[in-house]
Amino acid sequence: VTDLLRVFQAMHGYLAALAIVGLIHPAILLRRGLPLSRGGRWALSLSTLVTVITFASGIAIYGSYRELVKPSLLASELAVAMLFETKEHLAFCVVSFAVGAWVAAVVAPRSAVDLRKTAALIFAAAAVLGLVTLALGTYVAAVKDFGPK
Amino acid sequence: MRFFERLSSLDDERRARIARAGIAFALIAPVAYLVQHLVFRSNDPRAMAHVLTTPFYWRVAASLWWGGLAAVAAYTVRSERWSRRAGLAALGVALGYAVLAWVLP
Repeated sequence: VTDLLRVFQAMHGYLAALAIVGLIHPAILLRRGLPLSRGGRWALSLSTLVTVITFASGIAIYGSYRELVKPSLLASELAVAMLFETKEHLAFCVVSFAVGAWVAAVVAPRSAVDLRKTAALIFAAAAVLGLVTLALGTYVAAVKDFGPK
Repeated sequence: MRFFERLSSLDDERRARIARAGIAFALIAPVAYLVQHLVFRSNDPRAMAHVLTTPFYWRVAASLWWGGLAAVAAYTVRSERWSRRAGLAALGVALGYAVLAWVLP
């Protein structure tokens, strides 16, 4: 079971890396506030979908992580366990930003340049916070994951 | 594909309102999450291992609810003025959120 969880945890990390790249793209695409093409809408939707799937996969393994990894991490590496907490909080901010900005960017009427520029800023902030989240997650997983250490 | 076509059929006023609702969700859901975290945060980090419930799930669920509520409230507002400053507000939220999540995990 722990091997399966390790694979799932690794997939969660790879998805996170993909999500960050995906979040940078809308920030660039929307920076001038121009209306989106059909392809642009699809690209934004896929970026947001990958971000949501990444968060959902984290939620899916969180129960097992909390049961199998967190207690020993808290006992042996308190500072690292606290970094995991920070990562957890940042991840929620990233997914909220991505979903909200996606709605704003995709639904905004053609004339709403300001709304798309706002969505670009929110996507940019999500990408930066996502990068910090990924770095923290990778570090914490390197210290302790589901495997025997 | 039909989803985007249906969106195009909505009038501009309604589309702008939905877009502003999305921005309101993006700003309020993380703030609600952070407020809950700070209010219910334990001073003893090791006590986290002994909590029977999973606070993270509850925080996420409640924050989504607050974000949804803010989105509904924003949808009812006609003014366009606030959305111009929402981008800067988002950067402020992101910065404040990151600092607090780091200092008070």
